[in-house]
Amino acid sequence: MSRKKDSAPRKPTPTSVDSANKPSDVVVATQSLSKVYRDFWGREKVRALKALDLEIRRGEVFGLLGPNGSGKTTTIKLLLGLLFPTRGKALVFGCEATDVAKNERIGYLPEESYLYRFLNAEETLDFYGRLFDMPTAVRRQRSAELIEKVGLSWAKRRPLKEYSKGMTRRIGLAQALINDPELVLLDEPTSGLDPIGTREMKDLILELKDRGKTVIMCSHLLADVQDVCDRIAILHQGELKELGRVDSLLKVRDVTQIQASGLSKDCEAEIRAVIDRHHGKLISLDNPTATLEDLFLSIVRDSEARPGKRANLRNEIPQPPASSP
Amino acid sequence: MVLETQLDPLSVWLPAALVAWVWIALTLVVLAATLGLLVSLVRHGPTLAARHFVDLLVDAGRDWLSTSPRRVWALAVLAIRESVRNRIVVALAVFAAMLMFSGWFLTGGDDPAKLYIESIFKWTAVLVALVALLVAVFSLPNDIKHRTIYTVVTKPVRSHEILLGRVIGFSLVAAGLLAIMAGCGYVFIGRMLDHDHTVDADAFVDLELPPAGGRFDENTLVETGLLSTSGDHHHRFSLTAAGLGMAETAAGHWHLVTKDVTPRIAGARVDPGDATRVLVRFSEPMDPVAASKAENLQSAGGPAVRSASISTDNRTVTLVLDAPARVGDTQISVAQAVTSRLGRPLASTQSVPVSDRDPPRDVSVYDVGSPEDLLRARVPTYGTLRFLDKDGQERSRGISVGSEWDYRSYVEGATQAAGIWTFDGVTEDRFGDFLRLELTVRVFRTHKGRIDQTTRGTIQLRNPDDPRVATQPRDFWSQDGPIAPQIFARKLRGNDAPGRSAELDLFDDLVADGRIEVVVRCAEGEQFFGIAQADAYLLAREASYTWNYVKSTFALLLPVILVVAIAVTATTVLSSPVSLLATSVMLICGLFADYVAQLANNQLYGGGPFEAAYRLQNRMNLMQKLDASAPRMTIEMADDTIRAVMLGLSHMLPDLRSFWRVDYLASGFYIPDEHVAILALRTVGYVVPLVVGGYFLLKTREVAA
Repeated sequence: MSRKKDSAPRKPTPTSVDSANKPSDVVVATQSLSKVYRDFWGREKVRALKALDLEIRRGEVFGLLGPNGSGKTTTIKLLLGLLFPTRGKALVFGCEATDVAKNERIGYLPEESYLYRFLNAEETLDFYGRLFDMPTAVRRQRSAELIEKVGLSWAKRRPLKEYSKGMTRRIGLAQALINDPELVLLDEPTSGLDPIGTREMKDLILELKDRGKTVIMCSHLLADVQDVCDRIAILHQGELKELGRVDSLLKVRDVTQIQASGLSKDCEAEIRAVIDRHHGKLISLDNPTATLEDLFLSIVRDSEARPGKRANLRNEIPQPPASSP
Repeated sequence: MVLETQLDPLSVWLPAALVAWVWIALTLVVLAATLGLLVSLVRHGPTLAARHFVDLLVDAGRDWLSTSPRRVWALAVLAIRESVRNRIVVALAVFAAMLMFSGWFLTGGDDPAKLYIESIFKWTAVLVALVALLVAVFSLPNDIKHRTIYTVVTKPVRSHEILLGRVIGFSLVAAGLLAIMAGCGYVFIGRMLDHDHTVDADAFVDLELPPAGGRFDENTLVETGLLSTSGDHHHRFSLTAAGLGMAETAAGHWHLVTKDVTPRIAGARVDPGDATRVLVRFSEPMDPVAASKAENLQSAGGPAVRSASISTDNRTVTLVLDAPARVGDTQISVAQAVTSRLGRPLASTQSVPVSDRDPPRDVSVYDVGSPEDLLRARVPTYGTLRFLDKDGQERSRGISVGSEWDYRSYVEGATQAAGIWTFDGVTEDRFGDFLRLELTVRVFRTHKGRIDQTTRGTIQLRNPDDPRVATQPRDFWSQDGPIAPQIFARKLRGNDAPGRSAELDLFDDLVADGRIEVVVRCAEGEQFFGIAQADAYLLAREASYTWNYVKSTFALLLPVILVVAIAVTATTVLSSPVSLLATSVMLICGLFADYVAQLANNQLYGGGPFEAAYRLQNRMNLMQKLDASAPRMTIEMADDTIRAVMLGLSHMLPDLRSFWRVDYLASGFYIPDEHVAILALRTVGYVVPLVVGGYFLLKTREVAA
């Protein structure tokens, strides 16, 4: 996640999701997956997840969305075997989620990076590498690459207790990728990251997708999910409320959006007239605004290019890409 | 050192222990499986419960087969780092402070080596066990509490690897601490025991020597004296004419004392009452013939010597001069012909000026050696004991004189009753040219007498294959305790056939295939000797004290490993404080495992808890029998039930006291390698089921719950 100077986040490209619907390509499947938290005496405390049915296929970036307490993290923990289902099944790579062997192919970034704070970055990655039974040479090479990738080369000898939250997330991500996993589970991946870190995280997710990895992320930051996910599931109070492709879910079918540049006032008036003639209702016709994230990233880039100068970004803010009619 | 319970040899112990272990393990497996199935049945119903049970067993098989040493080592290293981060070095600081101030409280006594060794090891054991317990008990719960466990269990780490890594890591931490503390202790003990004495010149007594011409050789004791006080002890010593001697044993040790016996002139003094008489004093008894010749002792630059005479101790020669000697001017020179009584010539100084002061009491050069026998590793060879009753019939035990202590049984005096030890492994290689027997004999008296009066007994060495070949009975006297060590030389008087006296060779005639018998009898009528198997042993050549020290340190590490394993297993289901409590309770019970076993086997007076309560209520003493009544039946049934549970538990309770081999070290006895091997195997016997049990507990636990 080194700070690259590329521009807007790449949009997810519809890849093999549609074509990859053979049963062997199902990486994660849940069948009526339910979880009830009980107290010491076995009395029901919370019904955290109710009969969740999901199928996530190879190469997908899948988002679990929902407000706090909706069951996102519980789902992730069930998939990891950190919790046992009360009813139903959670299958990962066709095995029960409680099967430890599946972890060989999984990378997990928890909600907060729960790492040993007395280790430094190198020791941390070396430790987790050993847990994958990786030989010394492979471990060293992989650790060096990942430290470089997450941009912590300058702090690799410092104990994690001296790290900021963002740095801890970065090393947390590195440990999740130490085994070059086929399935990456990210719990609130952008939590604690600055906008640049957030962008880099999103780029990394897309890079993983390009490399054919399956990514499951849960977040309540909708923009992040929208930016990178192919499909999403929306949970509320432990129930699945919506499941589908992001683009189709977000598409407003009875509204048409036109984006063009270089139009004169006359042309705009003509467009209004055309809409009137066809009995359409003009909702808005004005100049679009960029996102705050785009503005922030442009300022940072400008500042790095021209240190000590005020930002001059009039023509540098990337324009929102034209959406298809 | 009384050995009430002796460990069997490894070859005898192992099969029996293995069978017992398998039985206990199987019982535990059955109990745990039943309990697990019941819980699963209640929670999931019969179909799912059976499926979960089978899945769990299959998973367990797969998990154990996938054990990765690299993962285990990674987790062990993590445990070590965690311990270091938790400032376990504080324990070392506490230990160092203890060592520094211990000199104030640990003072001498009859056996300072024992005092120092036991003290050091007790502190070390307590500190290391405490540190190990604390780091082990907080580790896993902290990982779960801080959720760092999430990033571990989501890797291909098996539950038993998490436990094994911790057990190994914390055991290594304990081993490191123990090694440092034991190393410091070794140096401390050496320094505390090392001391010097000098010869106290004012406390000499010259022994009376035989007159000139009498028997006088190098082995004649010529002087006795005191060594200076060091710490809280001093020694009396005696020297032979050759200058060799030893200080008597005090504070558990003795010293070699040597003296340079080259004669020297200590000085010459003019007689205050008669200035024509000069007394010349020598450091050694001189040859009275040569020293009494006036021509051998001349005055230079002064009056001539008229006559010379020597004192009874042969050290002072009195010269009579023609005229008064002048202090400072007159020199007395001694001819080379004057030698010591052993024929040694004078040292280089051959003339001294006449003084008006007494010559120094002694100008000899003494050398007092280092303390001996303080830190030893005696190698006892124990035998098997059988008895003869008063009619000479073989018995496995002697007479019982009461049931207070069943350890010893007794042989009756002035009868054919005897205790016969058979020792094995008696070879020249191990023992050298003689046998040293150490024996403790208790005395049970049947008539009044003086308590400090000794009772006579006899010892005989016998060929086990041909009992007719035996030494003559040798008398010894017992004062109800250890008797003086008995040394049997290579050549001994005895019989090689009934009534035929012969000189016997220790190894050729009395030892058969490395075996020899020692027969002990009480020689006084109406008196009884109490003996037990471990009361007699033959001392082989001594082993290395340092190696013994290492072994006792290792033996101390084993229960610490056990503590770690118990604590780590407890934390798979319990919180830190509860685990701490549970482990502590188990350790305390382990310290009193003997008592628990006796209680469970109904070997103690007073019955079980219900009977004890009943006795308290009815003010009955322990010996009083309960009435045959209904309450008694109920009480006994309730106690039997509790005892059955306790019996089961007592089989699983680690007998922690059995790991304490420091008493061997402190008493100067070699710790047999087999003992250490047995203790190590016992530890493994506990750690393996603990880790297996912990595996299932952790495997079936929702770490994120």
